[in-house]
Amino acid sequence: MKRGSRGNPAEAWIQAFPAFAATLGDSPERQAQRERALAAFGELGLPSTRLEAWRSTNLRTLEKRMPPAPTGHPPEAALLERAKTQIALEADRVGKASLRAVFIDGHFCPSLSTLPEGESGVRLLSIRPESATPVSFPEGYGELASAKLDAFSALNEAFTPGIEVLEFGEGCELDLPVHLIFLSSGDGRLNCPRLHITGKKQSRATLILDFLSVPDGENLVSSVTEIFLEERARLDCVVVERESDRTVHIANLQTRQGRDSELLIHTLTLGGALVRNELGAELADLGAELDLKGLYVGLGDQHLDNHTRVDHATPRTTSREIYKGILAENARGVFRGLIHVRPDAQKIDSTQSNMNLLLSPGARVDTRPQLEIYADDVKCSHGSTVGKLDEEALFYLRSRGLSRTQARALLTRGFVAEICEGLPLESLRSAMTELVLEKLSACAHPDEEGLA
Amino acid sequence: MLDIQNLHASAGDTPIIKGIDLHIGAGEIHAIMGPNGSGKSTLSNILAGRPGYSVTEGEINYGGKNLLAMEPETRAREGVFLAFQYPVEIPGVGNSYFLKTSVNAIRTHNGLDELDAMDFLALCEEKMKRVEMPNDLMSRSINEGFSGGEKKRNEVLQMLLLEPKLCILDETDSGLDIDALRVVADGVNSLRSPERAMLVITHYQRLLDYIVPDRIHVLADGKIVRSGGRELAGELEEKGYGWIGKAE
Amino acid sequence: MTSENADLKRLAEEDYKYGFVSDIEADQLPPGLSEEVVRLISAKKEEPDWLLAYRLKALARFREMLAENGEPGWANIDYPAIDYQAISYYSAPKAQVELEGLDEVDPELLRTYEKLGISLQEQKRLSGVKIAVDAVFDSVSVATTFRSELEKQGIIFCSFSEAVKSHPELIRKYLGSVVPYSDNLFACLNAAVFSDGSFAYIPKGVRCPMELSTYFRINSSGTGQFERTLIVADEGASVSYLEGCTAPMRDENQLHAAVVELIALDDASIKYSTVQNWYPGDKNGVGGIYNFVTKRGACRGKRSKISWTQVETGSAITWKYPSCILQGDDSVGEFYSVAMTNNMQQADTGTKMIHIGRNTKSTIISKGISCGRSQQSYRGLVKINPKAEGARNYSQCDSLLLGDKCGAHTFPYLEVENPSATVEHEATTSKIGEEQIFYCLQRGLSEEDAISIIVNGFCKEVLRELPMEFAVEAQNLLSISLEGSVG
Repeated sequence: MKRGSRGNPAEAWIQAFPAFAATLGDSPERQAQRERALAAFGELGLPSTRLEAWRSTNLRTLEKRMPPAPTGHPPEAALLERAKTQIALEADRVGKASLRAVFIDGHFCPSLSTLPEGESGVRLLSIRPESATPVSFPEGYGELASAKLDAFSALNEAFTPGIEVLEFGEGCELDLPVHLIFLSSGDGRLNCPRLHITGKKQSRATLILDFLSVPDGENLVSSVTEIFLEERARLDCVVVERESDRTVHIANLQTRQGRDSELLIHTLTLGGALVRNELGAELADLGAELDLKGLYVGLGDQHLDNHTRVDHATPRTTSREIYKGILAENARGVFRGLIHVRPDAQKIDSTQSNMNLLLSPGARVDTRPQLEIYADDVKCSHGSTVGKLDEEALFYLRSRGLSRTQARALLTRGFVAEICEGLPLESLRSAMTELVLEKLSACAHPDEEGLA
Repeated sequence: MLDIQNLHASAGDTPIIKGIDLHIGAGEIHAIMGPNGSGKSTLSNILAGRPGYSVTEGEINYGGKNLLAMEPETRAREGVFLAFQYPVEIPGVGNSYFLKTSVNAIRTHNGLDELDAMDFLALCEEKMKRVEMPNDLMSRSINEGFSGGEKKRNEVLQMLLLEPKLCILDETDSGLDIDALRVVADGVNSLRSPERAMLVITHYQRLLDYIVPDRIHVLADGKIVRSGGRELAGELEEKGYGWIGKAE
Repeated sequence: MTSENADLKRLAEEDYKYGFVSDIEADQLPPGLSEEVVRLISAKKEEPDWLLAYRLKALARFREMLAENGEPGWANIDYPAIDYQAISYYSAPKAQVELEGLDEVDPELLRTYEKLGISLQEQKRLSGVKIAVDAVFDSVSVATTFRSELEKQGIIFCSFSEAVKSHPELIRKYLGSVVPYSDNLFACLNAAVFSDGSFAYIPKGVRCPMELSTYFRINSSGTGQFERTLIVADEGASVSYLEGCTAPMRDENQLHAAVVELIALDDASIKYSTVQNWYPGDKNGVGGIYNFVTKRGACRGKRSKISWTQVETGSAITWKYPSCILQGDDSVGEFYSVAMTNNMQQADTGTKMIHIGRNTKSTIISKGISCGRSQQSYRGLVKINPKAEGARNYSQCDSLLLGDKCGAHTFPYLEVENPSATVEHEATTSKIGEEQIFYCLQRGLSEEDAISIIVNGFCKEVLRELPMEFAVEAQNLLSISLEGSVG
């Protein structure tokens, strides 16, 4: 047995792989690629808390109850039928889209999707066995989410049903957002959506990655998304995680930006029992700008972990990052944000802040902002705060007649305003803000005792 | 309307108020003057119910009810309004949303219907003119980035909107230039009525030229050491606070 | 600039002005680490059995830890594995019997201290500011000044070995109570082979009337220094303690693995200041001290306070996190640090503030200056335990970069498990201001002086925490360490 896989609870997945692969019926080339990834996963194993990067997030709960490997079968007709209403609801929420695609357990579902007709500048291709024409791997595939180094990238590569390739064509300007819905079916299994996104030169687009599960569904989702932005491309990307409280989601999002490109990523983590967002951004050419905004709101026993790594690989690149967390009841938040400035990457401007509100005695947060700087002509700063609602502000509001609950709700709302207001497109902003407020209203009343 | 009897109070463990008796009837304006550290602001904070202060002795009766037993928001709904010396900045919370919530909380308490957005805006616009407040302040976050004068105007605007029964002005004149002071004073004066009482707390007599009180009390070391008519202000202006100790 | 360059060159060559070797006969054990060596050290010091047993337990644990995990790998430092068998674990000036007073100290040794600028003779004559000094030479404490004056107040200030003999009950009670022998690899090694150090006990209600001070110096070649410091401030007591370090220039790396434990009971306060300028190695990174030190204070009592101030300019590698365990309600922990690295130096330093008691408060101010090809990291943990109601922390970590080959890194860890706590952390990293330098040049300052005053300004919040006598020395040290970083 290989080192690292000894006593590895993920052994069951490795055992189940041949059956999964047989169902898919991939090309030998693709099959070999999956096997390499699987071997790498066997070597790496599930990360333990002894790793610095996983210090605050323990996957032992997974080990106790390993979700079985995926079957490889596309969703059945009955499931598609059942999902219809939920999908329609979510589509309504976001409104008109220039492209809307639905993936159930990582499988593309044409019957639930609306793809653009004719030349619209955006296209979605799937690399999967059943595609009519064999497509070569997209450029850069696997370079950012390395199956050799990262266990979950390896797992994803082995078990993804297909690679979804989204491309914003050169110079295209989309007025309406692209809406990708990833629904977990609640079959209790592992599922591995895989997405590869390219923003060609001077393209401009808004993208929503909407992660959902059927009500009360139980799943382990290991998603991988790679985003490449070419020269002067701009992408405004909203990631919304609203899975059930029985879902574990390990989301790996990796980006690389070309010259003078602009990338904005808003991550709203509202649902899920355990969510780990691994966000790596490489500013690979001059003038690239990155804007990261994140909000995590935890209730019950939720464990929400955001890990960001901003890599200033070239001079004259800029990044701004704000993450805010609200933790109530027994929820736990984790933030680790690294700003890395490589040697000779001069003229870097980078800021990062992480602010947390603890609303109940059982809530906790670990925050680790980090600066790793190997060049001297830089302006970098980070700040982190953890606290409760401002007493002074609470009193002010109450002295104007607001009840304690109203005052708390108002202040909590004020706390998240900065993130919500930054969301793109008016309709999206109000739809997403509504979701956030819905979640907040559930946090507003618990455990007033001892916190007044 | 307000009846304070033998009030003793501490901030944390430090005794600040050492026996105050004060009676303010409806329609009256009382001023409390005194040097820094005499307990003026502590008194206003206790009336509004700020946490961190404890009343060790005495009682406060407001409109026939025990004021000290009420939560801060209940006091506000019953008509007690404190114009803060240092209004807090609350980023992310829109001023107009806050004011509407506040107005409606108090209306509901008084058995009135809530105002809808349109009615509220109309009401607001009228009151804002009175305090010469630019419209954009309404769309900004509460007090965030407001100048000292704008904050104080915002306080008076709230007072006009909420129409309280007892107005407490805590050093509302501090940090205001003469024009702003006049605007603020005009706002306050417009609320003068036989049903309404006011307690004006100030270090300087300047404000009292604009808001003319019926009675003036001088507070020193937690006690009222002198009370008199408006002529007392002039006397203080002339002699400063130094003579108070000797008078005792 | 030409004449300045010449000056700089000269200055750069005499970089480490404390790099002399004292010619004193030393009683030194041959290199090697074994049970026998530990027994020998213990026997030389005529220690009681319980202490020997403690050392042996630590040695066993050290071996286990080394075998299991090797050296701690999490810090942002890089060095070849240490050969623990190549180090001599005991070196004492070949002195005679017990030293009764300064007169009996080897005159060569006294000259050494004079060179260090801590003339013991001078100290005795000083009528103004009094500093009681305990000097640790290699591993052995050689003299303690002002002892009799301190004794009048019931203050115990002596070498650690002496304290083991004269106050065994105190040592036994407190040794390892803050830093258990198994805490980390280097603490473990220290517990096994420590040879001497300083002990101070301030009795109830006594404010120590003078600064207590220890100077550490590694002299012999191939030796490690493993001193142990223990300071106990009883209820209501207060003390300010200074620690200074130097070592001669040698081209092999020498290991310094000290342990410092502080204990503050109810209402007690301890201020611990360090100016560390161990030999940092040469421009190419040859030689220098590995400074792997465990310093920790326990605020056991209510309203107790422990304050660490450090100015770190020396050592090839510094690995050091002076920490506070805030157990008592309303206790206060502080950490003020200036760390300057130049040439090939590496430093991974910071603090831990563990909030356990209610309304505990901690402040962290860390200033890092990186020059040359050095790498510097701030690493700090703020932990608010579930019971630490109303705990507060404020941390500020600023890094200044001089030169484009160095690195500055900030790794704070904030773990909050109580919603009534307030924790704030801020950090900035930037280049030294060109505008500021130009302004100074335009006013006639040399570039060297300009940088020096800017750096001193950058560190002001920390330097002002130092006792007066130390502040001047610290400023000088910063200037010396900056030399060669310009141009």
